[in-house]
Amino acid sequence: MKRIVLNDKPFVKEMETYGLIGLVIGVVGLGASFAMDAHSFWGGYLLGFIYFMGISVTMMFFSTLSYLVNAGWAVAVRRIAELYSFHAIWAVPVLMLPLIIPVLTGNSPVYSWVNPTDAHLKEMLEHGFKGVYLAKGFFIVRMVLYIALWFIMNRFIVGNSIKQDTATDITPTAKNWKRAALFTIIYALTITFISFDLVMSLEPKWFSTIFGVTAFAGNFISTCALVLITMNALKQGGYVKGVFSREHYHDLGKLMFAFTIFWTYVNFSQYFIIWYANIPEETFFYDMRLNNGWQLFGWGSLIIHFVIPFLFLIRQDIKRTPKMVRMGALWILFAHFVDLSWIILPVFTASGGEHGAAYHLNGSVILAGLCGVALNGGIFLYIASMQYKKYPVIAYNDPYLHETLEYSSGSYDRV
Amino acid sequence: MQTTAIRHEREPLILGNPTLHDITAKIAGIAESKPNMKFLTALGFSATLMAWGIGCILYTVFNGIGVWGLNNPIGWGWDITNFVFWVGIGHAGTLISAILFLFRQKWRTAINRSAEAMTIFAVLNATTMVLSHTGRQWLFTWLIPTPGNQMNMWTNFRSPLEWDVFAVNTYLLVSLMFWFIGMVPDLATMREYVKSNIAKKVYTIFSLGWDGSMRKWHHYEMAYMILAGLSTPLVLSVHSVVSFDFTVGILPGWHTTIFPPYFVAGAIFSGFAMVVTLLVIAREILDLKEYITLKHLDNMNKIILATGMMVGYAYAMEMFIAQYSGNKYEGFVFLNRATGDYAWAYWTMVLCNVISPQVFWFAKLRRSIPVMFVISIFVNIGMWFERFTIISTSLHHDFLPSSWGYYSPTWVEVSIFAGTFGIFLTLFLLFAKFIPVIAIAEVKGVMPNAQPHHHHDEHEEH
Repeated sequence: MKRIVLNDKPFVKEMETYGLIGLVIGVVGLGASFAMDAHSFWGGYLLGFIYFMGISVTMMFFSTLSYLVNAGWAVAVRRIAELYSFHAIWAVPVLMLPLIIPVLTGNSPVYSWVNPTDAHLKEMLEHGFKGVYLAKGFFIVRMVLYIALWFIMNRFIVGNSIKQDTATDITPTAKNWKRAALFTIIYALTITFISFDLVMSLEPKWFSTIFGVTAFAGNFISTCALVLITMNALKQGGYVKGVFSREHYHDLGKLMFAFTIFWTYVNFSQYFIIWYANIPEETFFYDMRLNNGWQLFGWGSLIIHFVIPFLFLIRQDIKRTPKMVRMGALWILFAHFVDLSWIILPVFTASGGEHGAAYHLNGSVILAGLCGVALNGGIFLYIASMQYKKYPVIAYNDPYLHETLEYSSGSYDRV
Repeated sequence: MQTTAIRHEREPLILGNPTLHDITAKIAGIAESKPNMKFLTALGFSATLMAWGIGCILYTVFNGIGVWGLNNPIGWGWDITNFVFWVGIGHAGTLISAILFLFRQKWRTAINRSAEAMTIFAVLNATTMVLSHTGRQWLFTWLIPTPGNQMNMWTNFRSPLEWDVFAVNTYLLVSLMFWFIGMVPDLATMREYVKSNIAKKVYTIFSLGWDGSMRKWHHYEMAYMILAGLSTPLVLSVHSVVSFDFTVGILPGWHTTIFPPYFVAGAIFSGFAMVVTLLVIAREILDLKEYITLKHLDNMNKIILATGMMVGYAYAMEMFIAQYSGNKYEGFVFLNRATGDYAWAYWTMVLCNVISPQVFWFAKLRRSIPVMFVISIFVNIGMWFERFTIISTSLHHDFLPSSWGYYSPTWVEVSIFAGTFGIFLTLFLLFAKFIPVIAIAEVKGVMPNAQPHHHHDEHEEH
C-alpha cells in the first residue's frame, strides 16, 4: 500500500476553513458573552475546553487501546484518531491557562473552593482531606502533571505509530504493544482526576466515586463518533481507496452502540444509588439540575443520549450504511454536548444565597456553551489540518494492515 | 491490493495441525472412554465434600440459623459473602460466550463450553447460599411474587433482595439456554459417535433432531447471535443488582456510586481466575494441551490483569472519595477497613487482588503454568475476602459504638462453604464425562483452512 499524505487536498483545506470559522465564531461569541454576562462566559469557556480536551486525550487512548488489545480491524482508522490527538498537547496547555491562573491568584470566577464564601465549605476545606486535595498549589501541580503525561503519551504512542510508517521491521509497533499497557493506566488516572479537578469540584461539596467512569464513557463514545465521521469524509472524498469497508463502519457503529449503553449504565448507577439512598449531601446535585428549566437537559439527555441512539444504532443495516451511521455519529456528538452542558453549565446559572441557591436555565449560558464548543472545536480542527499536511492518513506499514484490508465479520448485507 | 513486506501473523489457536476428524475423535473420545482411577478418585472426593456440605445445610434447616456465628450487629456473614462470591465466579462463562462472541474473539471457542458450565454450576451454588440463609427455608416460594401465597400480600418490590431473585434467576435461565443451544451440534456428533444404546438414545433426545443441514446451521447461528445479544446485558446486570443490595442502603462503605461497575469487574476477575484454575488441571488430565493452548491461558491472564487493575482502581476511588467527601463516617469506615479489627482481611484482599496479578505484566509469567495456577488461586481467595471485607467492616462498627461487635463463623458455615466447592467440582466432573468439554463445531470453524482469506501457499502469493 502507498503512502498517502493529503497535503493541500480539499479535505485539508476544508478542515482548515471550518477550523477558522469556528475560531472566529468562538472568539466573537465568547467575547460578547464576556461583555454581557461573565458567568455565562466562564461556563461556556469551560464546557468547550472540557469537550475537546476529553476527546483529544481519548483519541490517544483509542490508539493505545488498539495496540493493547492487538486489534487488527482498527489499523485502518487508528491514524485518524492519532492525528486528532495533537490538540491535547498543543492547544490544551494554552487553553487551560485562563482556568488555572485565577486559581493561582486566589480569585477564581469558576471554582468556588478557591475563595469560599460558604461557611460550611470553608470549614470542610480547613479541616480534613478535602482542603489538602483542593489546595491551590497541589491543584496546579496536578494540571502540570496531566499535561506532561499526555505529552509523553503523544510522543511515545502516536510518535511510534508514525515511526512504523518508515520502519523496516516491526520494532516500533512491538514497542507500542508493551507501552500501551502503561499508557492505558495513565489515561485512566488522568481522565478521572482531571474530571474531578475541573468538573466535579465545580460543586466542591459533592462527590461520587463513579464520576471518572462517567467522564470516560462520554469521551469514548464521542471519540468513536468523530473517528467514524472523519473516516467517512476520507472515503467519500475518494482520498483513500480500498481501505475502509462496511466492516469498519459496522465496528465503529457497534462501539458507539455499546458505549451508548455503557454511558447509560454508569449514569443510571450514579443516579439510582443517590436517588434511592436519598442523602441530602448527595441528592442536591440532581435536585438542582432537575428543576428551574434544567430538567429539560436532564431528562432530555436520557432521550438524546440513550433512547434515540439506542433505537437507531441497534439495527445492523443502519450500522453498515455509511450515510445512516454517520448521522448517528453526528447525533452522538450533539448528545455529548447536551450531557456536558447539563453537568457543567447549571453551576454558572446559580442564583440566591447559600441556602436558597438554585440553578435557573437561561439562554445566554447555552449560547456561551455553543460558542465555547465552536472556539475549541475550531482550534481542534485547525490543529488536525496541520497534521494532515505532514503525516500519512493511513498507518500503511502496520504489521496488521493485511488484517484490516481483508477483514470480514461474516455478517451479510440484507439490503 | 498489494500488501507490504511487514506482515505479522497471529499465533495459531490449535496446535499440531489436526484434521477435522482428529478433533471429533479427540473430544468425543473423552466422553466415550471408560472413566479412569484418577477421575473416580476426584469424583469420590468432591461428592463426599458435597454430601458433607448438604448435610450441614440440612443441619441448619433443622436447627435454625442460630448455629451460625451471625450476631447483632453483624447479620450478614459468610452466607452472603459466599453468595456474592459464587455469583461472581459465574460471570466468566457468559462473558466468554456472549461478549467475546460479539467482539469476534476467536480464541473463545476452545474454552467457552467449560466456562459456561462453570457459570451454571456457580450460580446454582449462589442460590444454595442465599436460600439457606433465608431462615425458614421451606418457604422459599415466597421469593416468587404470586398473589395470595403470603397472607394476600405481594413480595416487596422495593427491596433489592427481591431484584436479586429476578436478576439471578434470569441469568441462570438464559445462561442455561445459551449453553444448551451452543451444544446441540456437538450433542448430535456425540449421538453419531457413541456406541452404547442408552447413551445414543439420550444424545438423540437432546440433540433435537440436528442433521447438520445448511438450513439448521442458519437458524442455529441466528439463535446463537440473538442469545449472545441477550446475555451481554445480563453479564452486567446481575452483579450490578447484587451491588444494589449494598449501595442503596445508607451504610458508609456500602453506599457508593462506583459499586455496580466495580462489582462487575470483580466478578469477571474472579470468574476468569476460576476458569484458569480448573482449565489448567483439565487440560493436563484430559490431555487437551493442543486445544487449550498457552495462547488461551495467556489471553485469560491478560483479562485477569486488566480486571484486577479495574478492581484496584475502584478500591482507590473508594478510599479517595471517602476522604475527599468530608463525611466523617465514610472517612472512618475506610480507615477502619485498613487499620481496624478486619485489617487482616482488607490487606489479604489488596495483596491477592491488586498486588499478585501484577506478575502477569510479564509474558513469560503469563505463560507459566505453575505461576498462573498459584495466582488464580490467590485471586479467588482475594475476591472472597473482598466481599467479606465489604460486608463485615461496614456492619461491625455501625453508628452506635456501644453495639460494635466482631464476627467469626462456626464450623457449620465453614462446612457449607466447603460443601459448595464439592457441588461445583462434582457437577464439573460429571459435565466433563458426559458432554464434549470443547465446542467441537466451533473449534473447527477457527482452523486456518476455514478462514475466507486463507492463503494456501503464502510464499507464492506474495
